[in-house]
Amino acid sequence: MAMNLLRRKKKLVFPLVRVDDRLLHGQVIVGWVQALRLSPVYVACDRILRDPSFADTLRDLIPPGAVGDIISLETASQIWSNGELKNSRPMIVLEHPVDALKLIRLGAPMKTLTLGGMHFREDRIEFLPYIFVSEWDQVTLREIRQAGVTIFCQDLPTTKPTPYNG
Amino acid sequence: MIHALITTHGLLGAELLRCVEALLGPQDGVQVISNKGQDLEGLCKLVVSRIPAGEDAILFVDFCGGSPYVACRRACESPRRLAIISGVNLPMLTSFFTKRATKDFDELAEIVRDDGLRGIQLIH
Repeated sequence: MAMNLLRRKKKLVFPLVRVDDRLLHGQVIVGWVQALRLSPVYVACDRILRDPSFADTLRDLIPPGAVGDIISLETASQIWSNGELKNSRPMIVLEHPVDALKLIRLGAPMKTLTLGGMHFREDRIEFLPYIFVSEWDQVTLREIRQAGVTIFCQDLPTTKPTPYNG
Repeated sequence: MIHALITTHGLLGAELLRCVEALLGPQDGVQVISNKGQDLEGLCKLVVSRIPAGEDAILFVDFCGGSPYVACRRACESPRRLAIISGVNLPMLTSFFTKRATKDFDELAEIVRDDGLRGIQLIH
C-alpha cells in the first residue's frame, strides 16, 4: 500500500488541479493533502469569495503543515503563470469544470485535470459513482480537452485514475 | 424543545440514532442527514431546510473538516441559536437526549460536549 502510494506519487503532475464540488472536505484534506503532504492548497472559487465569512470557514480547514488560501480564478492563474508554484507540491481545488476552462482562458498552463467529485443533480448523468456530468459539463470538458489538457477521474490517490472521454 | 440534527458521512448518523434509540427508546426532535451523493451547495441547503424554523438546535457532526461540518458552519450564519459539536458519539447523544429538557441551551451544549469527551478513555 505504502509502496503503491509512493509509486503513484512519482506520476503526479503539479499543481494538482482537482474539480470537486465539495471543495475542501475529508477526502481532500485527509486523503490527498495530508497523505501526500501537499502545500500550498488553493481553493480558486469566485463564488465563495463573494461570501467572506464562508471563505473564512474554508480557510480554517487548511490543515496544519500546509499553507493555502481561498483565491480568485484570476489570482490562481497569475501565481501559476508567474512560476510561484514551482518547487512545491501545490493543489488547486475548483468547484466546477467551467472554472478549469476559465483558468485556461486566463492563461494558466494546465496540462492535466483531475475530476475528483461531481455529485448527482437532476440534470447530470453518471460517468462514475463519484462523477456525474450535465450536458453543459460535457461541452465544457470537451473544450478543455481541445485545449490540450488530459482529463481523468480519481477520487483518492490510491484509486486507479480513469481517463475521462465523455 | 432543543432539536438535534446529526449530519455525517454515509450511514453513520442513522446508525448512531438507531443505537441511541435502542438504549433510550424513540426520540422526538431529531433529524439525520447523510452527505452521501451531495455536493457542498446541496448539503448546505439540506441542513438549513432540516432545522425547524425558529427552534434552537444542536448540530452534531462526525468530524471537523468534513463536508457535514462545513455545511453546518454555513447554517450557523443564520440568526437562530445553533451550536455545532463535532466528533459525535453515543455518550454525547445519550447525554443530549436525557438532559435537554432540564438545561438551557448554552449549558446543555457544554455538558453534552463534556460527556462526549468523557466517553473517550484509554485503558491500558
